[in-house]
Amino acid sequence: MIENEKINRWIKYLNIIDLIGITLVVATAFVFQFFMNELPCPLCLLQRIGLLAIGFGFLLNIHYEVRPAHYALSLLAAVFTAFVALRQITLHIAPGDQGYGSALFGFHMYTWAFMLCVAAIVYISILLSVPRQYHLQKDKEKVSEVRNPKMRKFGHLVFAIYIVIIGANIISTLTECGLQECPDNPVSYQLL
Amino acid sequence: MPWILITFVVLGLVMLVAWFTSHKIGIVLFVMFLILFLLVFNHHMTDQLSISL
Repeated sequence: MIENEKINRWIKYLNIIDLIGITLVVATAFVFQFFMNELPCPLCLLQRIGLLAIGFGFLLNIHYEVRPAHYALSLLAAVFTAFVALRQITLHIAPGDQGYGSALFGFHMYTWAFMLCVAAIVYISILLSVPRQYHLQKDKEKVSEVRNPKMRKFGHLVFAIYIVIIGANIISTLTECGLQECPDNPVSYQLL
Repeated sequence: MPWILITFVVLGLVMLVAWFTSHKIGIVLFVMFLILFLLVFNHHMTDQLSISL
């Protein structure tokens, strides 16, 4: 029983690290946007949304008890985001096409997003197959919040950073596109 | 319509609801968000084609 508690705690910390990882990836996209003046295209913005959505399952695992359904939501988001990234890769697959934006270690951001999503799918599939992390209650409908105060505090901090990143993306998208559909090839901010 | 912006706002709301209000409603809203996400992707996926949706 104590062993199970330990595994559960480690899995929760792992979920926190995953959420921080996703936040860092989206923050890297901001570095490209603001320091290299590369405006994100609509598909790039959708990939950002998808990457942040992958974190939803991790977020639920941190705040409530760990459940397979939470991982399933993250898996769905990862599959959909991989589709978006794959669509953008195929747009620039023709010989001689320079791709959209600059490359990082030889790959464009959308290629990295695709690889990241495939890695996330594999990783989440492995993680959800650890049976001793689940403490399901007798009443399957009842989902309790995490009780460990240290974990709660840490979870709240990570959630705050996560929400700030989503808020920053909302402001950035509003500034870039205004209250109309985002242009396919943006060259300037609509509201600046 | 600024659908990408709307999708971002919905994602933020879903996170806040799931964290502060209700686990169940959060999950239901997240599924609705995924459907919205797919529809917006469907639109942007096809806007270079003659079958734009």
